[in-house]
Amino acid sequence: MITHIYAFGSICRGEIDASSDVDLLAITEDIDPRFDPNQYSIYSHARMDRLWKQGNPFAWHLYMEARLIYASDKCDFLKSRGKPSKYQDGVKDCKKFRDIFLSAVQSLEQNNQTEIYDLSIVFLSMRNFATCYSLHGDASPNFSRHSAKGLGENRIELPKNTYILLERARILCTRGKGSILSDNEIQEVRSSFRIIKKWMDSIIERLIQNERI
Amino acid sequence: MSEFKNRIKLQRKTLQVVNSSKIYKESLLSLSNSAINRWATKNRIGDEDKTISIIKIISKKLFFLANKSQEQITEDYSNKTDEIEGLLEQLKQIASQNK
Repeated sequence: MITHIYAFGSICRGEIDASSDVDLLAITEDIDPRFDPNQYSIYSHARMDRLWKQGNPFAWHLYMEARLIYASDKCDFLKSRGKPSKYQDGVKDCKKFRDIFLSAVQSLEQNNQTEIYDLSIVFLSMRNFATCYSLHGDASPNFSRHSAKGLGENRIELPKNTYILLERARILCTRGKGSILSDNEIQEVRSSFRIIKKWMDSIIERLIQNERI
Repeated sequence: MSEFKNRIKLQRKTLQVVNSSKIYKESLLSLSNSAINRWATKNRIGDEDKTISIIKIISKKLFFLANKSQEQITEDYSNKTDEIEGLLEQLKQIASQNK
Protein backbone atom coordinates (compact mmCIF):
# COMPACT_ATOMS: atom_id res chain seq x y z
CA MET A 1 0.00 0.00 0.00
CA ILE A 2 1.48 3.36 -1.01
CA THR A 3 1.56 5.73 1.94
CA HIS A 4 2.73 9.29 2.41
CA ILE A 5 3.01 11.07 5.74
CA TYR A 6 3.38 14.84 6.11
CA ALA A 7 3.60 17.37 8.91
CA PHE A 8 1.71 20.62 8.42
CA GLY A 9 0.29 23.49 10.46
CA SER A 10 1.87 25.42 13.31
CA ILE A 11 4.93 23.19 13.66
CA CYS A 12 5.93 23.94 10.04
CA ARG A 13 5.52 27.67 10.61
CA GLY A 14 7.52 27.60 13.85
CA GLU A 15 4.37 28.89 15.61
CA ILE A 16 4.91 26.82 18.70
CA ASP A 17 3.47 27.49 22.13
CA ALA A 18 2.26 25.42 25.06
CA SER A 19 -1.10 24.84 23.39
CA SER A 20 0.31 23.79 19.99
CA ASP A 21 -0.27 20.29 18.72
CA VAL A 22 1.41 18.51 15.83
CA ASP A 23 -0.68 18.24 12.68
CA LEU A 24 0.00 15.07 10.75
CA LEU A 25 -1.45 14.08 7.40
CA ALA A 26 -1.56 10.49 6.17
CA ILE A 27 -2.30 9.93 2.49
CA THR A 28 -3.14 6.31 1.95
CA GLU A 29 -5.56 3.95 0.23
CA ASP A 30 -8.65 2.25 1.65
CA ILE A 31 -9.01 1.99 5.40
CA ASP A 32 -5.61 1.72 7.00
CA PRO A 33 -5.90 0.72 10.68
CA ARG A 34 -2.34 1.86 11.36
CA PHE A 35 -3.55 5.47 11.36
CA ASP A 36 -5.55 6.73 14.33
CA PRO A 37 -7.92 9.53 13.19
CA ASN A 38 -7.23 11.23 16.52
CA GLN A 39 -3.61 11.61 15.50
CA TYR A 40 -3.78 12.01 11.73
CA SER A 41 -5.84 13.77 9.09
CA ILE A 42 -6.41 10.85 6.71
CA TYR A 43 -7.03 11.27 2.98
CA SER A 44 -6.81 9.05 -0.07
CA HIS A 45 -4.55 10.01 -2.96
CA ALA A 46 -7.61 10.40 -5.20
CA ARG A 47 -9.31 12.75 -2.72
CA MET A 48 -6.16 14.81 -2.44
CA ASP A 49 -6.05 15.07 -6.23
CA ARG A 50 -9.63 16.37 -6.24
CA LEU A 51 -8.81 19.01 -3.61
CA TRP A 52 -5.87 20.09 -5.78
CA LYS A 53 -8.10 20.41 -8.84
CA GLN A 54 -10.73 22.36 -6.91
CA GLY A 55 -8.09 24.81 -5.65
CA ASN A 56 -9.39 24.07 -2.16
CA PRO A 57 -7.82 26.15 0.67
CA PHE A 58 -6.62 22.98 2.38
CA ALA A 59 -4.74 22.01 -0.81
CA TRP A 60 -3.14 25.47 -0.85
CA HIS A 61 -2.29 25.15 2.82
CA LEU A 62 -0.53 21.84 2.20
CA TYR A 63 1.14 23.10 -0.97
CA MET A 64 2.65 26.03 0.90
CA GLU A 65 3.49 24.44 4.23
CA ALA A 66 3.44 20.63 4.32
CA ARG A 67 6.73 18.82 4.93
CA LEU A 68 7.21 15.21 3.86
CA ILE A 69 8.08 12.87 6.71
CA TYR A 70 7.74 9.46 5.06
CA ALA A 71 6.97 8.07 1.58
CA SER A 72 6.71 4.34 1.01
CA ASP A 73 7.56 4.90 -2.69
CA LYS A 74 10.30 7.47 -1.95
CA CYS A 75 8.31 10.14 -3.87
CA ASP A 76 6.93 13.44 -2.55
CA PHE A 77 3.33 12.96 -3.66
CA LEU A 78 2.16 16.50 -2.85
CA LYS A 79 5.16 18.18 -4.43
CA SER A 80 4.60 16.15 -7.59
CA ARG A 81 1.05 17.62 -7.88
CA GLY A 82 2.51 21.08 -8.52
CA LYS A 83 0.44 24.17 -7.75
CA PRO A 84 -3.26 23.65 -6.89
CA SER A 85 -5.81 25.28 -9.18
CA LYS A 86 -6.66 28.92 -8.51
CA TYR A 87 -8.88 29.36 -5.47
CA GLN A 88 -12.18 30.79 -6.67
CA ASP A 89 -14.59 30.35 -3.79
CA GLY A 90 -13.38 33.21 -1.61
CA VAL A 91 -16.66 35.11 -1.55
CA LYS A 92 -18.73 31.98 -1.05
CA ASP A 93 -16.46 30.64 1.72
CA CYS A 94 -16.20 34.03 3.49
CA LYS A 95 -20.00 34.26 3.45
CA LYS A 96 -20.17 30.73 4.84
CA PHE A 97 -17.89 31.58 7.76
CA ARG A 98 -19.82 34.81 8.41
CA ASP A 99 -23.00 32.68 8.60
CA ILE A 100 -21.26 30.32 11.02
CA PHE A 101 -20.20 33.31 13.15
CA LEU A 102 -23.77 34.68 13.11
CA SER A 103 -25.20 31.29 14.09
CA ALA A 104 -22.87 31.23 17.12
CA VAL A 105 -23.99 34.76 18.07
CA GLN A 106 -27.61 33.72 17.74
CA SER A 107 -27.04 30.61 19.85
CA LEU A 108 -25.48 32.74 22.61
CA GLU A 109 -28.51 35.00 22.57
CA GLN A 110 -30.89 32.05 22.89
CA ASN A 111 -29.36 30.05 25.73
CA ASN A 112 -26.26 29.58 27.87
CA GLN A 113 -25.82 25.82 27.50
CA THR A 114 -23.14 26.04 24.82
CA GLU A 115 -21.43 29.35 25.61
CA ILE A 116 -17.81 28.18 25.44
CA TYR A 117 -18.49 26.15 22.31
CA ASP A 118 -20.14 29.15 20.63
CA LEU A 119 -17.18 31.38 21.49
CA SER A 120 -14.87 28.72 20.10
CA ILE A 121 -16.88 28.74 16.87
CA VAL A 122 -16.52 32.53 16.75
CA PHE A 123 -12.73 32.10 16.89
CA LEU A 124 -12.82 29.35 14.26
CA SER A 125 -15.01 31.40 11.93
CA MET A 126 -12.70 34.46 12.26
CA ARG A 127 -9.66 32.34 11.53
CA ASN A 128 -11.09 30.48 8.54
CA PHE A 129 -12.70 33.65 7.20
CA ALA A 130 -9.32 35.38 7.29
CA THR A 131 -7.56 32.43 5.66
CA CYS A 132 -10.09 32.31 2.82
CA TYR A 133 -9.85 36.06 2.33
CA SER A 134 -6.04 35.98 2.31
CA LEU A 135 -6.07 33.27 -0.30
CA HIS A 136 -8.64 34.93 -2.51
CA GLY A 137 -8.00 38.59 -1.92
CA ASP A 138 -5.08 40.91 -2.21
CA ALA A 139 -3.30 39.79 0.99
CA SER A 140 -0.61 37.12 1.26
CA PRO A 141 -1.95 33.62 1.96
CA ASN A 142 -2.12 33.16 5.71
CA PHE A 143 -2.85 29.78 7.30
CA SER A 144 -1.86 30.70 10.81
CA ARG A 145 -4.14 30.20 13.82
CA HIS A 146 -3.84 33.97 14.09
CA SER A 147 -4.62 34.72 10.45
CA ALA A 148 -7.34 37.23 11.46
CA LYS A 149 -4.62 39.39 13.00
CA GLY A 150 -2.19 38.84 10.12
CA LEU A 151 -3.94 40.65 7.27
CA GLY A 152 -2.02 43.92 7.44
CA GLU A 153 -4.37 46.87 7.20
CA ASN A 154 -7.32 44.49 6.84
CA ARG A 155 -6.66 42.70 10.12
CA ILE A 156 -9.33 42.49 12.76
CA GLU A 157 -9.10 45.21 15.39
CA LEU A 158 -10.29 43.43 18.51
CA PRO A 159 -9.24 44.41 22.03
CA LYS A 160 -6.25 42.24 22.92
CA ASN A 161 -7.93 40.59 25.90
CA THR A 162 -11.06 39.77 23.88
CA TYR A 163 -8.95 37.96 21.31
CA ILE A 164 -7.13 36.03 24.07
CA LEU A 165 -10.46 34.99 25.60
CA LEU A 166 -11.75 33.75 22.24
CA GLU A 167 -8.58 31.74 21.70
CA ARG A 168 -8.92 30.33 25.22
CA ALA A 169 -12.43 29.13 24.37
CA ARG A 170 -11.10 27.51 21.21
CA ILE A 171 -8.32 25.68 23.08
CA LEU A 172 -10.79 24.52 25.74
CA CYS A 173 -12.96 23.00 23.03
CA THR A 174 -10.26 21.45 20.87
CA ARG A 175 -7.72 20.34 23.47
CA GLY A 176 -9.78 20.35 26.65
CA LYS A 177 -7.18 22.54 28.35
CA GLY A 178 -7.56 25.76 30.32
CA SER A 179 -9.92 27.37 32.77
CA ILE A 180 -13.56 27.98 31.96
CA LEU A 181 -14.42 31.58 31.06
CA SER A 182 -16.32 33.47 33.74
CA ASP A 183 -19.65 35.19 33.08
CA ASN A 184 -17.87 38.55 33.05
CA GLU A 185 -15.33 37.32 30.51
CA ILE A 186 -18.08 35.92 28.28
CA GLN A 187 -19.86 39.27 28.50
CA GLU A 188 -16.64 41.07 27.59
CA VAL A 189 -16.29 38.97 24.42
CA ARG A 190 -19.95 39.39 23.48
CA SER A 191 -19.62 43.15 23.58
CA SER A 192 -17.09 42.90 20.71
CA PHE A 193 -19.24 40.89 18.32
CA ARG A 194 -20.25 44.01 16.41
CA ILE A 195 -16.55 44.63 15.60
CA ILE A 196 -16.23 41.12 14.16
CA LYS A 197 -19.39 41.47 12.10
CA LYS A 198 -18.34 44.85 10.76
CA TRP A 199 -14.92 43.45 9.82
CA MET A 200 -16.46 40.48 8.01
CA ASP A 201 -19.05 42.65 6.24
CA SER A 202 -16.44 45.10 4.98
CA ILE A 203 -14.15 42.36 3.66
CA ILE A 204 -16.99 40.57 1.87
CA GLU A 205 -18.05 43.88 0.36
CA ARG A 206 -14.48 44.45 -0.87
CA LEU A 207 -14.29 40.96 -2.38
CA ILE A 208 -17.58 41.47 -4.19
CA GLN A 209 -16.41 44.84 -5.53
CA ASN A 210 -13.15 43.28 -6.74
CA GLU A 211 -15.10 40.58 -8.55
CA ARG A 212 -17.15 43.23 -10.36
CA ILE A 213 -13.94 44.88 -11.56
CA MET B 1 -26.92 23.89 4.19
CA SER B 2 -23.20 23.28 3.78
CA GLU B 3 -21.85 20.07 5.26
CA PHE B 4 -19.60 21.91 7.68
CA LYS B 5 -22.38 24.19 8.94
CA ASN B 6 -24.57 21.14 9.44
CA ARG B 7 -21.89 19.40 11.50
CA ILE B 8 -21.47 22.48 13.70
CA LYS B 9 -25.23 22.66 14.21
CA LEU B 10 -25.48 18.97 15.15
CA GLN B 11 -22.56 19.31 17.53
CA ARG B 12 -24.30 22.27 19.21
CA LYS B 13 -27.55 20.32 19.44
CA THR B 14 -25.74 17.41 21.12
CA LEU B 15 -24.11 19.74 23.66
CA GLN B 16 -27.49 21.35 24.42
CA VAL B 17 -29.04 17.97 25.18
CA VAL B 18 -26.18 16.82 27.42
CA ASN B 19 -25.88 20.18 29.20
CA SER B 20 -29.62 20.39 29.83
CA SER B 21 -29.02 17.83 32.60
CA LYS B 22 -28.20 19.74 35.74
CA ILE B 23 -26.38 16.83 37.35
CA TYR B 24 -22.96 17.67 35.91
CA LYS B 25 -20.43 19.84 37.72
CA GLU B 26 -18.90 21.05 34.46
CA SER B 27 -20.61 21.32 31.07
CA LEU B 28 -19.51 19.37 28.03
CA LEU B 29 -17.57 21.94 25.99
CA SER B 30 -17.37 20.27 22.59
CA LEU B 31 -17.19 16.87 20.95
CA SER B 32 -13.43 16.70 20.56
CA ASN B 33 -11.82 13.70 22.19
CA SER B 34 -9.95 15.94 24.65
CA ALA B 35 -13.08 17.87 25.62
CA ILE B 36 -15.04 14.64 26.17
CA ASN B 37 -12.23 13.24 28.34
CA ARG B 38 -12.10 16.49 30.34
CA TRP B 39 -15.86 16.36 30.91
CA ALA B 40 -15.68 12.71 32.01
CA THR B 41 -12.84 13.42 34.44
CA LYS B 42 -14.41 16.56 35.93
CA ASN B 43 -17.71 14.77 36.44
CA ARG B 44 -16.22 11.40 37.46
CA ILE B 45 -17.93 9.58 34.61
CA GLY B 46 -16.64 6.14 33.71
CA ASP B 47 -16.29 4.66 30.23
CA GLU B 48 -19.21 2.32 30.91
CA ASP B 49 -21.61 5.28 31.17
CA LYS B 50 -24.28 5.15 28.46
CA THR B 51 -24.23 8.92 27.84
CA ILE B 52 -20.51 9.02 27.17
CA SER B 53 -20.65 6.08 24.79
CA ILE B 54 -23.40 7.78 22.73
CA ILE B 55 -21.48 11.08 22.76
CA LYS B 56 -18.40 9.32 21.42
CA ILE B 57 -20.38 7.65 18.64
CA ILE B 58 -21.88 11.01 17.61
CA SER B 59 -18.47 12.65 17.70
CA LYS B 60 -16.98 9.94 15.53
CA LYS B 61 -19.81 10.25 13.02
CA LEU B 62 -19.35 14.02 12.89
CA PHE B 63 -15.57 13.65 12.51
CA PHE B 64 -15.04 15.99 15.43
CA LEU B 65 -12.95 13.66 17.59
CA ALA B 66 -9.71 14.85 16.07
CA ASN B 67 -11.02 18.36 15.43
CA LYS B 68 -8.34 19.42 12.96
CA SER B 69 -9.32 23.00 12.30
CA GLN B 70 -6.95 23.34 9.32
CA GLU B 71 -9.01 21.02 7.17
CA GLN B 72 -12.42 22.37 8.02
CA ILE B 73 -12.88 24.11 4.72
CA THR B 74 -12.93 20.91 2.70
CA GLU B 75 -16.64 20.03 3.02
CA ASP B 76 -15.39 16.50 3.05
CA TYR B 77 -17.81 14.67 5.22
CA SER B 78 -20.82 12.60 4.26
CA ASN B 79 -24.13 13.64 5.74
CA LYS B 80 -25.08 11.52 8.72
CA THR B 81 -27.87 13.74 10.04
CA ASP B 82 -30.48 10.97 10.27
CA GLU B 83 -28.19 8.61 12.18
CA ILE B 84 -27.22 11.39 14.57
CA GLU B 85 -30.82 12.48 15.15
CA GLY B 86 -31.55 8.90 16.28
CA LEU B 87 -28.65 9.00 18.73
CA LEU B 88 -29.79 12.42 19.97
CA GLU B 89 -33.18 10.93 20.82
CA GLN B 90 -31.43 8.34 23.01
CA LEU B 91 -29.45 11.11 24.72
CA LYS B 92 -32.63 13.13 25.32
CA GLN B 93 -34.24 10.15 27.04
CA ILE B 94 -31.24 9.73 29.35
CA ALA B 95 -31.12 13.50 30.01
CA SER B 96 -34.83 13.60 30.90
CA GLN B 97 -34.26 10.83 33.48
CA ASN B 98 -31.44 12.92 35.00
CA LYS B 99 -33.54 16.05 35.51
